[in-house]
Amino acid sequence: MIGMETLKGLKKLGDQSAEMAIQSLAEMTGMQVLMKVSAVDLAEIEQIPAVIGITDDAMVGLYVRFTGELPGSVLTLLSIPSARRLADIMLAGMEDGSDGDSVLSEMQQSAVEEIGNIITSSFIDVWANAFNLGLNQSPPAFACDYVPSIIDASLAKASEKGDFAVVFNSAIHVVDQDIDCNILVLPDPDKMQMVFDNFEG
Amino acid sequence: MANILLVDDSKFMRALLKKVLASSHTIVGEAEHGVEAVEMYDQVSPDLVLMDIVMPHMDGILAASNIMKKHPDAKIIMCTSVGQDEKVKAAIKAGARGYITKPFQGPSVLAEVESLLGQ
Repeated sequence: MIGMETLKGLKKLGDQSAEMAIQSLAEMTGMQVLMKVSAVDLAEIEQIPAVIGITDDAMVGLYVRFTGELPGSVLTLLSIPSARRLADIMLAGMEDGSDGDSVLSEMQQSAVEEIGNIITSSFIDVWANAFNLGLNQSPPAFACDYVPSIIDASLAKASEKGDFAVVFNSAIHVVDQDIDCNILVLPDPDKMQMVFDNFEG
Repeated sequence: MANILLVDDSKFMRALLKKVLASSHTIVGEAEHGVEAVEMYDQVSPDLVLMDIVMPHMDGILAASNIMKKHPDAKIIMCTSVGQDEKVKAAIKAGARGYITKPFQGPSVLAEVESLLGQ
């Protein structure tokens, strides 16, 4: 049973993390970035795509695992056109090495991975400060697949794979660029009790 | 004009740093992880190293420590992301002499580089 104080605390944590991520993305792109959704849900893992409203198309997923006393993963999801547009902004004035065949060139993929990396750092910074924890992050992993497969892969390294997960979902939009991005934070389910205890303190 | 070694597992970040630094300095090498950085330092003897922290195989802190053991005068600037304060402290303890935080702007990178080269 999750209490009201915990729900409020989780929502505040999600909002703060999303704001930090927006700030980082705006700095990286030089563009205005807006938050469309910031929500926290308790969801069955197989229902996560439906909860965040993405079920059909193949997407670009950037997965970064964080470890420490509160391990989990941050998953940044972009449509393929959004990933290409974002990479092009990041690579303005630089050689992108497009070969025309792959979803993204090696350089475009690297630029998008760096976005996942920095967005994850923003989330980890807020979480580490909120709970006074030391958290470490892994290098980003790239996937282009259907969302359920990307989520499966990102949860594969969880310390214990449960049926449910607390899902922090932030949907953000880069103004005038038709770029939309969902950021999911999926703390390892078996470690969430520490978070609940902290809020109910 | 100084000789600079870039160490980052991100091809994009290496290209970005090269773009920022190329007009005023020479990039003498690029390494994708700490092991490669330590080997390359011996080969190219750079005036300064820009080193990422989170990398596969060997992270930037251990790489900085290994370089400093052999080259106590090495000038190393760490490239960090927000939320890596503890890692920055560890890197400074390992011998790094400055740091820049991603996402960064070109002028701030150049300022940090020039400041350390001037010491």
